[in-house]
Order: sequence, then C-alpha cells, then structure tokens
Amino acid sequence: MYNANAHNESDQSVLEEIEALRAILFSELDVTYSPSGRPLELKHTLYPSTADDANQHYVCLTLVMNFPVGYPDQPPTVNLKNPRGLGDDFLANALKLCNEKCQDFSGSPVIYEIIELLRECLTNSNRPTGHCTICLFDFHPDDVFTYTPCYHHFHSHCLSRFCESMQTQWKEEDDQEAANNPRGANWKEKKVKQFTCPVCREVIHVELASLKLAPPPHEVEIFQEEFCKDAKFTAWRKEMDEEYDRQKTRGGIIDKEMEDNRFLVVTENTSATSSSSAEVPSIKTEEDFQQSQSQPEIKVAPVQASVISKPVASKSDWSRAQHHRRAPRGKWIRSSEIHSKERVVSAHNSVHQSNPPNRQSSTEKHNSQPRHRAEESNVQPAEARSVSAAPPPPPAAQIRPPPGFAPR
Amino acid sequence: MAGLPRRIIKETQRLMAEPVPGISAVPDEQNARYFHVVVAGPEGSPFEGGVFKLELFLPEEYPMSAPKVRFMTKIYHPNIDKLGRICLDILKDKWSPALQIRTVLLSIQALLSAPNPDDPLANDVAELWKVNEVEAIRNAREWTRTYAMGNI
Repeated sequence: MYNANAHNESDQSVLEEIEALRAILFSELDVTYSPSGRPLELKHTLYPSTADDANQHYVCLTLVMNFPVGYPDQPPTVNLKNPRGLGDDFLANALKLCNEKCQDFSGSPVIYEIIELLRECLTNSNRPTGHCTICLFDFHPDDVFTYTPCYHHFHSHCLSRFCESMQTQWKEEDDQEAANNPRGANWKEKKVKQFTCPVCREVIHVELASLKLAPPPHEVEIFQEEFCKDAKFTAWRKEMDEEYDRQKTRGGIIDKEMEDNRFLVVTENTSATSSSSAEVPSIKTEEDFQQSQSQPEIKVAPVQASVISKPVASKSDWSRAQHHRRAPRGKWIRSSEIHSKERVVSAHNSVHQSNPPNRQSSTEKHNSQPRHRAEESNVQPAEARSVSAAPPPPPAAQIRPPPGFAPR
Repeated sequence: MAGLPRRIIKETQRLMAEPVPGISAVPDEQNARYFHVVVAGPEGSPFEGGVFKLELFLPEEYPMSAPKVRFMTKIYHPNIDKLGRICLDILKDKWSPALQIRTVLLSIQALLSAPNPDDPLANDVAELWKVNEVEAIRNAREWTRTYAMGNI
C-alpha cells in the first residue's frame, strides 16, 4: 500500500520522466492527465531509426502506455496500436519484449527504454512483414512495393491494377451518364474521382505510370493449388444441402423464377394472330408496361399474390439490386396460374436482352416446341385466344401468406 | 481449376481452415468461384436461431470488383428484397479489394443485427420497420421461424 506522500512522490517522478522525454525526443508527447494532474496515458507514434529520413520509414506503430497508481514501482501496461506494415508475429514478439523490459525496470523509469526497444525492433524489420491486402501474399525481399501516406503497404503491381480498375469503372460510369444524358445537361453533382486507399479510404495520390512498371509479386508461398476436398468439406456440403432441402420443403427458399414471373400481363386478344403479331404491343420494360396501361387491348388480370401484396417489377438479374426504382402500379398474376396455352408477356424479362428475338422467329420456335418459360414468346397461338379473356382460375389456397405480406 | 487466381485459392483455404463463427462458406464442387454459404442469425436479433442460405459468386474481375451475394432463404429484412438481393454499400460502390469473402459475410451478418430502414431495398418491409418496429420485428421472427429453422 502507498501512503499519500508516496503517491505524490511517484506522481512527481512520472511527471519529471515525461518532461525529460519531451526534451530528448524533440517532439510533442500525447499525454492524458488525471484531474489531479497525474499522467494516466501516453501515446507516441514510432518509426524506424533511419537518420530522420522519413522516406525510408516503411513501417510504424503507436505505443500506448498506461501508468497505474504507484508507477514506477508498479509496472505500466504497454499496448501497440495502429501497426502499419507489421505482421502479427512482429507485434506479439515486440509486446513480449516490452513486458519483459517493464518487469526488469520495476521501480525505475522505463518509458524511454520501451521507446528505444521498439525503435530497434522497427529498424530491424523496416520493411512490411504483413501481406499485401490486395493479393493476400507476403512481401518477398525482391518484391517492388509501395505504401500510402496512411502507411498501408501494397505491391506496386497490385496497387496499379487496383487504380486501373478504378479508372475503368469511372469511365463506364461516365459513359453511362453520357448515354442517359446525351445533351450533356448535367445537373447532378459530379462525383469526385480520386484514388482512395483500399484499406482506409484515405485519398491517395498515385503515380500510376511508375507503378505500372513494377513486376508482379513473387509467389513466395507454396501451397496446394487445389484446395483439399476432405471429409470436413464433404460433411459441410452435405449438411448445407440437407438444410437447403429442408427449407425448400417448408417453402423457405426464394423461387427466383416465380418471383421473376410474378409480374406478368395477360393481354386480351384483339385482331392479333400469329401472322399479324407486329400489331401486338410488346412489353419489354417497366416503361412499356406503364404505357401499356393506357392501351385498351391490354388487360391486367387480377390474381391474388401468394406472398407479396405489392407489385414489384423484378429484374431477372439479382445483381442489379442497386436499381430500386419504384415499381409501377399493377395487379398480380401468379405465374403458376398461367398455363402454357395462355398468352403472357413478361414485363421485365427482356430488359437485359440486347437483341430481342425476332417476333416471327419466336413464333416459329413456339410452334415447334413446348414453351417452358412464358416469356419466350409474346405471340399467342390462335387456339389459345379465348383463354386469356376468361377470368383467371382461383388462387391456390393452400399457400399461407406469411405475416406482413398478407394481401391488403 | 485452371486460371483461378491464387488469392481465391488462399481465401478458400482460410475459410475452410479458420471459419468465421456463425458463418460457413464452401466452394462448389464444379465451380470454384461459386460458394455455398450459411449464415446463422445473430444473437439478440429477430433472426436468432435461423439458418440462412446464401449464394456467393466471385466475378472474373474479383478482387477488383465485389462478389455477388444473394440470400436464398426467405428473410424479412428492410435491406433485403424478395429475390434475396442485399442493399449493402460494400457490395456496390464502397467495394475495396482489401475486403474479402469473410469480411463481406461478416458485414451481411452485421446487417442482420442492424437493419437500416432508412436505406431500404424492400420498401414495404422498411415502411413497417419505421412505422411499427415491434410488428416488423415480430414478422421477422415469424419468417425466421417459418422458413429458416430447419430442425423444428
């Protein structure tokens, strides 16, 4: 136990130690004090000793020391934060050395000793020992690497690939913007196009031309090319398949095709026949659908939706989730209720087709082989004309709508 | 598989050797870029106890472009739509090659713990989530119980 006097003495000695450090290090120390003025915590970022040539600093870390009441008789706690270019092995070893040093110096000032020790460690491994976060491979002594002002390390080759891919992406965005907006009327705020650090998203300035000259990294690690399909793998896959089947039985698996086809339109026949199909309005996109709403020959057949109460024009490509445009208003037909003889037009399925199939050829296709997907043809065979005008069959009642999506 | 970047092999090996708690991701036997994924509903969330199947695909440009991920199990969540598509910035414009399959799946697991109805993908779910959170959470629990619990 310490009495008040001893406290004051130890407080005084740690204050003096920090003052001395400030003088030695020629730098400001980040120290947190208690309300009574006792130093609680010290933070200091350390670099390798490279004769103050900051261009030679490839690694760094921040030392955080906490001083318990009674320091220096009580050892301080040492933490190593924000390591840059340093692997886990380095950190574990450095921390171990620090703690040993703290024990050795119990009763004497130790901060400077710790700082010196860490600088020595950093100097000895003044090249990145972790892995490049882009290719996940370690830095080979012959590899050409680079690092950002935020001290994140990459193989020059990997960073140049990243920057090039960013440029390609920007170009695509620009082209798209130009296509959407041919007159160049750009009221949208232009996105600032700057390279950012892949790890921390700090803006970085990259000399791409010189980075691109760097050779690809050495593949230092040798491992099996094929991952091992061992017993564990087989067991996992089996378990997953069983779980999938269980969920499928319970109706828990999203039926992509059904969701895709949920938004179907049945058109009432007018004068259209297979031969005069050019007059049949074709619905290829959501916009077409909205236009078609005003045309008398299109009838939207109302059918209860089993799962969803609200129409959503789904896109066949689920990767396009960024397009959350508001769905047009419409009523539902379930794809399962439309048998192959009905004339159906999918509102969305041709969205991604660059070349919609020629109507005549799709008719031939339809006539020559059974139609599996309703949207393959938007041409109605003559014998099916009456079907679409009839009221739709009653919805399958056995499908229980989940809560929240009950038909309103 | 010929032409498979070594980074993908390395990630696959680590996913198998040191799986993330509550997440398993196993490559397909035929296609090493396609992963079968199972994410356990996080504790304390309305998805707790659920086992959610996802599919993950690494496009040709990976890791320069984001993996494509989709829920296969039905889920009641404001940022996941009927097709299982996920509204998550790191899968879109915030993708970075420093992210990996495991970090993406961790983010998805975190999204289950922290739904964000202000950035919705499923509008009706998000609306209810904002207007009546209690009911929305009850629905999410109900969906989890109905669809995502295999062993009941």
